[in-house]
Amino acid sequence: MSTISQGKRGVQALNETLHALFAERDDVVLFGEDVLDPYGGAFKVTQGLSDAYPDRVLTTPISEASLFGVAAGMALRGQRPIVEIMFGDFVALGLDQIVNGISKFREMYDDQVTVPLVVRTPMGGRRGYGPTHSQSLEKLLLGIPNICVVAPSECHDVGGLLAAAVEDERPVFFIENKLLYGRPIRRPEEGHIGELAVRESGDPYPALTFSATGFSEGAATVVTYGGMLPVVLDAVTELVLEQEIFCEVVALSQLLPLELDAVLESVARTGALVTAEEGTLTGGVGAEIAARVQEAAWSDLRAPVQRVAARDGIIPSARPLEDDMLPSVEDVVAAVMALDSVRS
Amino acid sequence: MSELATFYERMFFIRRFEETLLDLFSLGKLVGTTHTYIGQEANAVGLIEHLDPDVDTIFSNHRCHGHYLAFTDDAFGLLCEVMGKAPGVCGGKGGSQHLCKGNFYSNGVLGSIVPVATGIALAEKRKGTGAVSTVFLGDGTLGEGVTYESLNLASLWHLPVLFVVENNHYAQSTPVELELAGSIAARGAAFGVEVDELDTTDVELIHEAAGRAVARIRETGAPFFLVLNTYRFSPHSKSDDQRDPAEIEERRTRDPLLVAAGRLSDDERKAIEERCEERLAETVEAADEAPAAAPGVAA
Amino acid sequence: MLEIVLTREDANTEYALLAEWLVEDRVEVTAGQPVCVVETTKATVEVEAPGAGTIVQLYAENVEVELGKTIAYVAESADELASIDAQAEEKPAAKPAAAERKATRKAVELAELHGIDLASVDKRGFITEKDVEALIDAHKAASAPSTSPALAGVSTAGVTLPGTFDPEGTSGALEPSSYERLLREQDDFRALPPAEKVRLLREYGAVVGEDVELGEGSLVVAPRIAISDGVQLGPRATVVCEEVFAIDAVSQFGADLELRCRRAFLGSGIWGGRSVRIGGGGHRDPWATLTIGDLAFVGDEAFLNVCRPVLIGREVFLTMRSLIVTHNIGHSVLEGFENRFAPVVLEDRSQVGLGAVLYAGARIGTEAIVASNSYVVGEIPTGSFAIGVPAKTTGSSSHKLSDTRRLELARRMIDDLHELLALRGHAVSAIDGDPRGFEIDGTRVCFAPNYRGGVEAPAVVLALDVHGDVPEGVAVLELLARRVHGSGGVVLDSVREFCRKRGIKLEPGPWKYPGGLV
Repeated sequence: MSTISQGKRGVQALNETLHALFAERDDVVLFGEDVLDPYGGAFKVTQGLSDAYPDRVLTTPISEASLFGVAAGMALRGQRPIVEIMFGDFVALGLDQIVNGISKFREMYDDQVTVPLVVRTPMGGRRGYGPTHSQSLEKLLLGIPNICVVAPSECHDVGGLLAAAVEDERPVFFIENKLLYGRPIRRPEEGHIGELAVRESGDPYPALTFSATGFSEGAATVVTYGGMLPVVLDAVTELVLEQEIFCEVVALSQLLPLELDAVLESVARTGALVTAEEGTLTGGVGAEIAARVQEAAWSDLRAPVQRVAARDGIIPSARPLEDDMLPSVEDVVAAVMALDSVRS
Repeated sequence: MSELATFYERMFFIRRFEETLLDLFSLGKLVGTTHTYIGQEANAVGLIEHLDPDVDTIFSNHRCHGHYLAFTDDAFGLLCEVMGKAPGVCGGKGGSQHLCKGNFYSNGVLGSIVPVATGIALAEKRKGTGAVSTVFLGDGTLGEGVTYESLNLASLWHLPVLFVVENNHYAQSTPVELELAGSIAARGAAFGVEVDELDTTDVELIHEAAGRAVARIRETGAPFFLVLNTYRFSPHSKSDDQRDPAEIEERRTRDPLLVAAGRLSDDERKAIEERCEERLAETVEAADEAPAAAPGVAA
Repeated sequence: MLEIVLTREDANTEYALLAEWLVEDRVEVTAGQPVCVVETTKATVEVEAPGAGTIVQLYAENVEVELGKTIAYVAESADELASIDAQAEEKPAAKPAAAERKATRKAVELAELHGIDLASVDKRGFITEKDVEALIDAHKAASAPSTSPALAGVSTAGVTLPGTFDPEGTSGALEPSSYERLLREQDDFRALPPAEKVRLLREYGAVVGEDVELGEGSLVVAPRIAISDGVQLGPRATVVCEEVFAIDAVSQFGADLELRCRRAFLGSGIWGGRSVRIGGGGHRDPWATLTIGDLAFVGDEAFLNVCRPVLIGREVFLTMRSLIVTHNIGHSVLEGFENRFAPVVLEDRSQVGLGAVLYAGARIGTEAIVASNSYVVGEIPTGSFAIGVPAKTTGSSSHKLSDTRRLELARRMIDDLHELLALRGHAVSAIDGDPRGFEIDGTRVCFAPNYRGGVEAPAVVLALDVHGDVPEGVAVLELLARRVHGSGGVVLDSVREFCRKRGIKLEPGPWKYPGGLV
């Protein structure tokens, strides 16, 4: 099932997809805190859903740790639960369920069961919500085998990705960057988004590769995902306009299992890699990507990989402090310029 | 055969199965660890008799062998699993604590299983199967917060969950007095869940009480909190037992097998025991001969 | 003044859609009148005017507006309306967002330099320097003459060929027996007095203009010879061409020129230094064609090897001891050594520094500069600055001048000229007046940014633009268009020479630059 996301705001695309999924499949249920109408969820993603399907949308107590387990139980018994966790930061409360249950049941029980649940949760900062409501914790999930972590960007078919997650037999953690909700979705048209040529891989959770030169040349590949994509695109555009340094950008939507075909293909053209993520630096998504790319494509690399991420610290609430903490357009530009291959 | 004879046979088989596991462990034929159910057999046998393996579900914990055998009667699959053999019920991947067969599940992290069993009940309720989702807790599990979140959810949403607390008075080596405050039964009542509590090793009494509990759930669709005060004779897992031997000896006078055996004729009892020993020996022999689980080896 | 603010009611919603204005901009509204429809994720609401007055809308319809922003004012009086308008004017124009820009900074600068309209770039994606260069080349190619066989297929894009270029023509063809005789009796020809050489060549059929000076001991031999007015070849020059030697007006070479090739077409106003050597191995080859455009400069001891076409554009600067080779000398090609024969092209207004080497195949783009002692292999892009061995492009050959800066530089020329003349001991008056300037030998020399008359004769005026006619006795140097209006004597020559030293070569000639006072 796919919905047309073009031009819609993220929240609209997600909401319409949920309505379509509920209409299409009777086994889909959704629960989470404050998801009932008229409130419709903290970010309004579930607006109208409980009015239309009162017995399939459950508002829950503030019991995240158990909600993950409840979803697991439902999925074990053939339902397609969608759990909304109001802030991604609260995923930490459910880590036992994720690590010791959800991710393990299928393989531990020798493939006798599947756990087709979807956890939808907003992550990311830049809204002044402070240290416990602004994090990008998806990296914590990356060390957990047998789950799927999907993070759409504003250039992905956001609704289509959510639909694919619900169809998926694996547990899927669907990371919605908070800024995505309010931003219009920009899908490729005639192979382009703005001035950038775009290719989209055919996976259920595709990677988008952007090029300012129609894929003929590139000084570096910047790999990113989710809410960092607009920041990276601004940086890459600035590098083109101000310095005629042409980078390719790969926007992953599937962070786990990490599939780097699009990145390797791009690095083969550009010979250099920068990773950019909104989460903190240490043990981040970029670290894993850097390790894998150097394993697979050492001979393609002309410079050590550069990483752009938030500083290893808390995300302050005050805007200037938060801006200072989170990776910016300038940080991405500086990382590209710091590549040995670009500097020379 | 009388109902009691059936109960006795099941209990005796579980007892001997667990004792055999401990022997096999000593012989180095078991991998990893095992938590035996010796002394608690009446709970599993008395209660599970009321469950329909084709409809109802069980989510059990680390001490799951008794529950598993009572629900599935799959001794070979379990023994192979524990011995790391390919025909194990989970192909040797799960081992002693992580079992799954049909409507039976178990997992090794205390408390973790309670919300999952709650979710199972929610799913079955939506599907209208009439299934009861039974989850086995211990006194130790009452230290985990998700237990209470789940009680809250099950009560709030009227879910057919049977919470069974097997209070064997020890959390690993820690006596219940050092790990639990207040009343166990009041914990269920606090959430508006119907409670019953027994302090017996008599399988017939347990069977009767469990029958009432399951019937209430089937009747109301709401959860039930059943507290079974019990005792395990064996260590938590193997050699980690610091309890006073006198205490254990005193408890052994109330061994559920003795209680049940007292009501059977010697001949009947011996016939049952011989049958069990024979079946067990065959199972051990077959498991012994089964291929070890290995990458690429299918059962 | 009242404000209509989109109020924020929910911590997790940052934007709302301003769906529709229910009233026109700048109309009277009454208190409580619905003025617009706003869609939040929660609901669609009508926003009412907070009071009566004239509404001034700050946002268009159907846009996302950040909550907490003022979307309109309601001016309660004419004064308030005026103050809203005044505020709006004070606001600096918003910097265009990166996403709205399409052309790179380099592309914009190059396009401005060449007067290219970026809208004419037909491309999906960013417009880069390369795109603009391609457009410049396309323009050049479109305007370039069709390639002559004598040029062996070399593109003349960016090269303005001299007016003498006429490989198929017959003008100046010598009577064959005369050519044979000239070829045989070279030493006798060399010994003739200059005027006699001119006479003899004319007699043999060559075209030779007035005031042509073929220096002492010089020799000119070719089946076709065309020499325009005022050409000067220094003492002991040797010109031997297998097909044609043509040189246009007032071009000159210093002593000891040696020019040997199949065809030489030289333009007007060329200034060649002493000991220029043109020829070398293969100068008789069928492809040995040399063209040098008008106003080109060939420095002392320059060496041009011509066995493949060498095309030098208009106003090219080829400075002292520059070296151009069209082939290499090496070991056997059958042993894997390079054996290269290729043309060399210097497009119009390009410059080559002292002692630079242009290897076979080199092409210097229009207005590109190659630094001294560089070694050029391959192409140097239009408008770039290249340096090194091998030469690499490191930047642009020129930078964009603001109008203010250009005016400042032009104005300073008057001061510099005044200082130079004074230091040379000429009697000059102090700088004064409007247009600003001074007097020398009774002639006014001044700078008028836009000349529109009003300067009394006799005068020499430096101007950026010239409007209207120039009266008798006044000479105006139009610096940007590089044209001289009117005529004058020694003072004009002095100023013209002063400009030439700054790269401003003025037309029309004469190109002798006697220098006058400077």
